[in-house]
Amino acid sequence: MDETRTNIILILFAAIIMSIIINGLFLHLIVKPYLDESNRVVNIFKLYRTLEDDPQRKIFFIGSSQIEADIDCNLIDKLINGDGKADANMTVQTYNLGYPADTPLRRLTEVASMSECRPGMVIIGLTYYALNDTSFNISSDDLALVSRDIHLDNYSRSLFRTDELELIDMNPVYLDFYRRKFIAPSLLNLFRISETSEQEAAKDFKVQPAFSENLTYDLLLIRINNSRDMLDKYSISPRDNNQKLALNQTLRLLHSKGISVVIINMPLHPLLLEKISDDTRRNYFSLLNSTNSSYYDYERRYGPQCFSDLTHLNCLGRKEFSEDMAKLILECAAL
Amino acid sequence: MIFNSLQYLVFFAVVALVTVLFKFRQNQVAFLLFSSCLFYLLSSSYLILCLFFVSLITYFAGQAIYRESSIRWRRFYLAFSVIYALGQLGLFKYSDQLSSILSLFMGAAFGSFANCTILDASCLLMPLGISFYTFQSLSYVFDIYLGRLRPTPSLKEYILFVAFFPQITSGPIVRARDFLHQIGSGGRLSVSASNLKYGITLIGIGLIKKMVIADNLVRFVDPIFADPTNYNSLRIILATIIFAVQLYCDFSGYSDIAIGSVRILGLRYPANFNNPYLALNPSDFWRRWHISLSSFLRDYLYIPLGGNRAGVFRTHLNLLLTMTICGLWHGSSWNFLIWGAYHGFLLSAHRLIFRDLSLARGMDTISKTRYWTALGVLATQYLVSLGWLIFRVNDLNDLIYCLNKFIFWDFLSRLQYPGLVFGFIKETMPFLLLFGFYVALIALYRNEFCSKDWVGMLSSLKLKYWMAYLMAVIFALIWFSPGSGTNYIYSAF
Repeated sequence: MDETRTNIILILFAAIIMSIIINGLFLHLIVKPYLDESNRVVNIFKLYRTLEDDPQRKIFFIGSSQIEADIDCNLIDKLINGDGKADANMTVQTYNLGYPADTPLRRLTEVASMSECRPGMVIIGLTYYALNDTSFNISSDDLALVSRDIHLDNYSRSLFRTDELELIDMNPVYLDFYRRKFIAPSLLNLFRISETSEQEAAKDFKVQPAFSENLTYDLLLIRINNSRDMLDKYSISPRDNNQKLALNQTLRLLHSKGISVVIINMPLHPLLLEKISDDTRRNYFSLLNSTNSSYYDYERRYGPQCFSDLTHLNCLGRKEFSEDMAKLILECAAL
Repeated sequence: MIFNSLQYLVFFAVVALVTVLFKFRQNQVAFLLFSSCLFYLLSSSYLILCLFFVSLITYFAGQAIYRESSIRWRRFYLAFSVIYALGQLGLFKYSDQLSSILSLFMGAAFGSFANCTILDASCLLMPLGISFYTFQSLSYVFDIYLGRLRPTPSLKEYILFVAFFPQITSGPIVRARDFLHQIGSGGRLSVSASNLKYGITLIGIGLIKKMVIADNLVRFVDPIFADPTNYNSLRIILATIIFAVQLYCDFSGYSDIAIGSVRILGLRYPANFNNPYLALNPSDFWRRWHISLSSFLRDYLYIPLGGNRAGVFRTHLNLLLTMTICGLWHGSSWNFLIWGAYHGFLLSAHRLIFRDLSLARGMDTISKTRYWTALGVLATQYLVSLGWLIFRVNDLNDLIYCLNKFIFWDFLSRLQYPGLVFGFIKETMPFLLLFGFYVALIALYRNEFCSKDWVGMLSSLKLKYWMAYLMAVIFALIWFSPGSGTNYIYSAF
């Protein structure tokens, strides 16, 4: 081929087009399946789509890693459905949709899809830090990767920052460009023979592996005395913030669709409870009282032997808490 | 519109395409001037007026200097244009300091009046590329004054020289005599196949340097310099070296895109960098780093001050003064001043040891051996890196802490990993591997590496191999650039 201007420009365009095609194939054949396997938020939205046409009665547990670790949906299903004796059409399926570092604002992105599944009940696991506006920022992946599934009304949109809205409104071309950051992990994933525990956990909406730390009382004491930052996240002021507004908006949207909502004040280790100030507790419960939703306080229900760390239950705690949740669901159903 | 954006590449492609469609050179020049003004307007809006004022004043001053036979009037015109250009530069660049001084005086004279908003320097936006176009326009009047250049009769060509969009943001600082004869003479501008291929190759290299290397290094550098007191010597040294690489890739990446862009249009700019981190001594470093600025300072400041012709003391004083001004050109912050003075000291010390006192007599033959070369390069880069540390830190306390850690090594405190031996190995391994590669390169292949024209080699590849190069560049940009494009470091200067 002669080196004329035309040929050089043709080669440049050919290189650009071929690179884009190869990159697109790569993203769709390797990166997308990898994200479907390993990203929990992507899988939560996938579950909502699957459950839209499922006539079975459903109950969703939503919240942070506390819900993720503390709830055993297999046990709850067994307890409320009478060990498989109930009529298949009458059985209730519970789903553990807990997500690490979840906040009401992040969960607000799911409410429209969640409502489409018409769950009989949504149980929100809540604790103090979730209502602290500075506790956790929403990861950009949690917005960008599911941007096509997020549907927000104008008021809900107003609760997000501009940069977060840019991620939510990301167009498909930019989304493909964004996904390229998963190329390296997806390539490494090709060489794995079996699924990792994270990949299994990302798709499991029944029961997650229990926290295995089981820290001793002394170690927890050291940890709590050295973690000023963590304790700051457990303080709540009386002022409104976007997390509080997002919680209220979630409740409003679910109620408007006729979905009953129960708020659970999640169990905490007695050592951590000692550090929570009276002001914070007052502000927290005054918000829960103002929601018009029923809430149940489990924060002091379990002793130190039930915890693996300051916030997450161990196997024993999870069993007890799940049994309590099954009782609660049956009570609410009776009401 | 930053160079590593799709907007710039589309803008440039459209400009190049339309330029070659014009049949006459004057129309091409007019269109390039229009495009440059549009580029500037999109970046700095009304601040384009500053560019026009300085262009007009230096243009007419150049005409007047050339016509005037009286030395006194020639000096007057030169002084007027220089004072105006530097005054405008100083107003924008040192407005914080000026406003503090003014506030101080006003405060002393009128009390609370000092707090009035007129003195708020933060409302002054910096015109894009002001340092670069000021120096370019000054080179024009200086060259006419020194008899090296005839003034151009065309105001249009002159404003294009000052405002030409590929170089306006961060240089290279092009001399009037290098640019005007290319734009003002010969046939119409055309895009030849060889220039097109060379330009695209160079732009590809520039994009890789900026978007793949420099932008990815930001996350290693910024957290450490945000609060360096949390880190030991190893981290400080590593962050400094990484910053040196980041700065080089950022700035030379920009220069590559600028030079590649003008090359496509059939114009040639001299290289702005020539393997600066393979320099043998401080003087060699400044022949390889930001060549357009260092040669500008040499020709228009160091030599007019007397250079090395006015005795040993004056030579060293001139070096110190030139480099301190070079530091000040970067900004009004104290660390640029110290950085400039430090390089002045390095150049002076090198001259003193190797020339004036002849302390290193007999080193010439030894220093040509591979291992002495490697040692010279390493020693130079250690000193240059120390300069980058001064350049990068945020305040004086950080500087004192960092210098202490950079000079008096303390590798074992504040390790990020538990266990001294494991921690040390884990922290140093990637650094040692890269450092080993660098030492092997300079010890075994420095001269060969420096003498090769890598861009020329790549651009002379057969088309099928060249396409593979382009695809490699595009893949690297798509896969490895962090996405959040950062502005060029030197665009702030």
